[in-house]
This record gives sequence, structure tokens and C-alpha cells, in this order.
Amino acid sequence: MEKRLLSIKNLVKSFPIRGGLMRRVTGTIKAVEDISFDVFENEIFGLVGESGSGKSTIAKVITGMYRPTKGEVFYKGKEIKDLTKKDLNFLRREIQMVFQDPRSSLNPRRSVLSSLEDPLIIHKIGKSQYERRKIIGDLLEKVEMPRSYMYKYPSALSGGQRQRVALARALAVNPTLFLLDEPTSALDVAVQTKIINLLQKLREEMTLSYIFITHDLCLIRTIADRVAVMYLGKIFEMGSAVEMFRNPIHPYTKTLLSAVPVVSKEEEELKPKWEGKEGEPPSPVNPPPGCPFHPRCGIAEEGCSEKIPPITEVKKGYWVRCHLFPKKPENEKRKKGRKESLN
Amino acid sequence: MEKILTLDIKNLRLNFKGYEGIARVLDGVYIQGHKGERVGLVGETGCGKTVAMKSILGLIKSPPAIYETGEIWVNGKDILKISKKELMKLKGNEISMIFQDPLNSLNPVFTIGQQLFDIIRYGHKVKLTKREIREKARNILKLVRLPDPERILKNYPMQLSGGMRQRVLIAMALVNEPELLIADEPGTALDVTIQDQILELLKDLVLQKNICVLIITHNLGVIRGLANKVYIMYAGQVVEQGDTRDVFDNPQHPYTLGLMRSIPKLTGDIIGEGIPGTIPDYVNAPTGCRFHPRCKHKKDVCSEKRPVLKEIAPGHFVSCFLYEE
Repeated sequence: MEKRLLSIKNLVKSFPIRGGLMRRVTGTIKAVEDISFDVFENEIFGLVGESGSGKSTIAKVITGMYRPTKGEVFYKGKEIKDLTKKDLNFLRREIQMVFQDPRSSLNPRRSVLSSLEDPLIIHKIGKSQYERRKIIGDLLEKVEMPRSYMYKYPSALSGGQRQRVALARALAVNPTLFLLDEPTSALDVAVQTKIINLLQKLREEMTLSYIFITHDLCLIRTIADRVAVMYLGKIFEMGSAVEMFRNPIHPYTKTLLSAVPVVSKEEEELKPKWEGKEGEPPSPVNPPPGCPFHPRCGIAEEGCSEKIPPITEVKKGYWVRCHLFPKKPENEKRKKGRKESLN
Repeated sequence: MEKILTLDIKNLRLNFKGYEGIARVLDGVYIQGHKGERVGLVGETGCGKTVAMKSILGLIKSPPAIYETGEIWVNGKDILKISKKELMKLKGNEISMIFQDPLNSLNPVFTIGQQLFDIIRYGHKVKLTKREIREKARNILKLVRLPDPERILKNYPMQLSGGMRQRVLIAMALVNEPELLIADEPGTALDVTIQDQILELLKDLVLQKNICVLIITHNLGVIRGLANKVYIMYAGQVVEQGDTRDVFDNPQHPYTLGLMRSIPKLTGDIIGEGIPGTIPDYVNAPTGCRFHPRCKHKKDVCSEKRPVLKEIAPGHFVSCFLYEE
């Protein structure tokens, strides 16, 4: 059995809306709700969804930038909330994040060397400056850049090279889990390919796990092992990438897939028939009652606007949140409530 | 049936004078668009597609730009020759434009109605009454399938969602019945499901109005869905051109091939190695075929002279020495 690295249980993160004279709390936005998933060792877990679906909120909760409102985040069996200060430092070494825009995530006034040296100093890796430079040189080689580039400034680097530096910086502290928030969406396709290939290589060499956040479904299909599709703060469908793209179950996943612009005939045939309705995602401040997707859903029934469907396991390791699936075994659906969660 | 040529760019060479020397940005670009055609222009960042688009609109100031050779014919008029006044008349009437970012291309301090009325008022030669203008505005909003046009006319851009703003922009571009519509990265700032709806709408309207559209994007998938003719650009040169189906099913130029292999597919096929190297510097651009330093099939002749365009199948042109025997 694969080892579980990270597991999230019933996570809720909400933000207060302030308004009025005294900036009182007038309501809450539930950015993410009822999120449960596991990430296993050496796995690429993809999070997809449209903007505002809560993908980045999850990433921020995992890295500890946000505190969860409810629910638990376990890393290697320990709950993040209970960690001592020393453990937290360790956690920050273990989980690293790479951001979307390499232009703004690197300080333009610091050389590559000085950007990469910081994590080493903070986490006390390398005793002397000489040693640290050696480590940095090795890191640059790991991301397929010449050693001499450590003396350059970000302005002298291309977008792809900057993203490599950002990767090297994250690799500096020997992490095990990478959170990649749209790491290639600011890059051209040919450059994206190289970064993706590099990520694959690094994963094999260093036994890394990735949580890959993106809105590009084709990209997720190519690199992820398992995928979770999100809509308005909830996971709607989760399971192996191969299965989901061959046979999507949830009408929202189908809507998404049918909208992807593709470049070949074979892909065209893979696209499911559109089951949605024309429309836009509603605001998370006022989500529609019941299943949040029902106003755009082509096969919605009466019950859909009344109750939020629970996420249920339809196949082994394959989860769907829809009233209409699974259709038949009615009592089995009840037995496996969402409380039991993922096991 | 004879096709009417709406857009005809001939051998456009555009240079920019800078500190480091002369940057040769466009090197013999040609694009043709007939009435009723949807023409796609694809290329990576920095390949010159935006410069090409801006020169159609006469937005490139000269100097610093130097037009070495070339003609840009729109509807029988050469943009580079006509006076400023004539160009102003052409813009908004015969040529119109949809910009990439729907948020930044609408003025936040005026209502949609005010902005739309202005466009209608200045776009018409005859003077229209207020009621006629309002009627026209309402009809065009209905045409782009916006619900409740009367309310939207009173709204400010911030009150609309991204998809709705993009629809308003399409309405603004089409309201004066242009002959040539330029769409710069349509829908790329939006989510896939909304993008799909917008592209579908654009396609419908263009077919309905029977005008020529030039779609400029880096997203090959969008081009495949929208355009019926495609030009692939690399470093200021058109490297391949043809019917969308031909080019996508049977790409010939090494650059197009590399690009197609780099795109992640829904089938989950392993993506290729990508294209080695980066886009060249335009000041010291490679001689001959500009792609040769990155090309796997490089021959001696590639760096010496430019390959001529060769028709390898009816309507499918490639500019590469591999096909010149």
C-alpha cells in the first residue's frame, strides 16, 4: 500500500465579509467547504477548477498561510495545528510552494545566488558560504541551468529560466511535497513542456509528491495521477486521471471537458457531450441553494436545488458529489456517508 | 463565386530603431483574409503577432518604427499610405477590434450605455436620433445574447462579470458593421466554460454577418475551433499557412511540429521534448530561415538564404528547405 503523505479531512475555510458603519461582520464567504483528500508518496495530485473555485485557498491552508476554520490537515500522520514551533520549522522545509508568476516571485534586486541562499541560511544547511555556493551550484544543475547563472539577476533571465530558479529555490531545503500553483500558465507551450519534463524528472529522482493546481485540463491529464475537480469550494469529482478523462461522471466535469479547446481529432472524440447550460459560475457570497451547480446543469432534477449532495464513493477510490450518482443502490449510498471520509 | 479580399498584407518588413541597433521584427509577413473567412494568426510570445496586428490598425508610430517594405490593404485602401484622417474614419467603421482583457478595455467611470452610444454616434455618417441610437444598442446587446439589455445599458463595467464584459466588447466591435474584425486573444482571460461560450458566439456572429475576422492568439486549440485558415508565425516570419484542418492534421514545418508535440493532450499522450533554445534576439536575428538555430533538420543552406514558400498540398504552404527539392 502506498504511504499517505498528506491527508485533509472535512476542511472548511471561510472568510468574514465586513461592511456597514463599524466594519461588522455581515456574512461569511465559504471559500472551501467539506474538502477531504489524501496525497500519497511520490504522487501527482491535480486540483482543477475555474477561477474562484477555491484551489489556491486549499494550497494556502496546507502551507499554513491560512488557518482552517474547521477540519484537519494531517502531514505524515501529525495534525498541523498541534505542531510545536520546532516541528513547524520542519514542516516548512517539507512543504514548498512554487507560484504562477516567476516575474513577481523572485526579487528583482537580488541575484539568483542571494535568492537561493536565503532558504539555506534559514534552515541552516551548509556551514560556510563556500559550502552554500556549492549547494546552489548543484541545485542549478539539477534544474538544468549552468552554474554560472547564480550571479545573474532575474531581469537577465527568460520566463522559463526564472521558473527554474523558483523551482531550485523550493528544492534547496530538500522538501517532500511541492505545491505548484499554476507553475506554467505564464509560459509558452514549448517552454511549458520543458518545465513539465523537468518536474517529472525531479519527481523520480528525489521521490517528490506534487499537488498541481491548474485550470488547464489537458495539462492535468498529461501529468497527474489523480485529479480532483472543484466548483465553488467543493470537490465534485475525484479519482484517477485516466479514468476521469475517459469516463467523466459528474455533469460539471463533462461541461468542463467539453469546453476544452483541443488540437486533434482523437481528442475531439474523447470530449463528452455537453450536458450543461449556458451560464456563468455564481458568486461564492450567494451560492445557489442545494447543489451549487444545478442552475447550469443540464440534467438537474427537482431535488438538486434542495440539498447539497454528499460526496460518495462510486468505485474504489473514485468519488463523485452528485444526487444522481450512484443511481441504484440507494441504501448503500446512505451507509457510506461523508462522515466516514476517505480510507 | 469570386472571393472578395478584405485584408491583404504584402511582404511587410518592419524595423525598430533602438540603442542596440535595428531590430528587424517583421520579416516579410503576409496575411490574406477574404470576406467571410476566419483567419488565425498563431505564434509564441514575441513572435511579432501583436506588432502585425497593431500595424493593421495604424497604431505603430513611425519613427521609431521603420516600414522597410510592405503594403497593408484593408478593403481596397493601403493603411500605410492614407492620411491620418482617413485612417480614423476607417477605424471603428470598417476595422474594429476586440481586445484581450475585457476589464481594462472598458472605461470604468462610464456606463455601458454611454460607451456604446458614443461608438454608434461616431460610427455613422448620418446623424441618428437618440431613440435610434438606443434601439441599435439594445439590438446589438440582444444579438450577443446578453439578458436584459435595458439594465446592462445602465450598468457600469464593474457590475458585470468577465464573460458579460467580453460580450459587451463583442457588441461594441460589431455594432457599426465592420468589414474586418480583429480579435486579440479572445476569451483567454476567461474560464474554459465561459471561453467556450464566447468563442461559439463569435463564430455564430461572424458567419451571420459574413465578415472577415483575424484571430490572434497563442492558443492553438482556440484557433482550431474558430478559424478556417491559419498562419503560423515564428520570429517575424510566416513559416506555415493553410486550411486549419490541413495544418493541424498534417503539420509540416519543423517549428509547427515541435509546437504541436509540446501541447498537452486530452488523450494523455506523453508530451515531447519541446523545442530547444529560445526565440532569437531581433537585433542580431539569425540569417536565412530564422528557425534554423533551433531546428533538428538544419542544413547548410538554411543559414544562407530564406526558404521560399512552397505549396505542398492545395492551399497548404510551408516555408522550409526540407520541402524544396
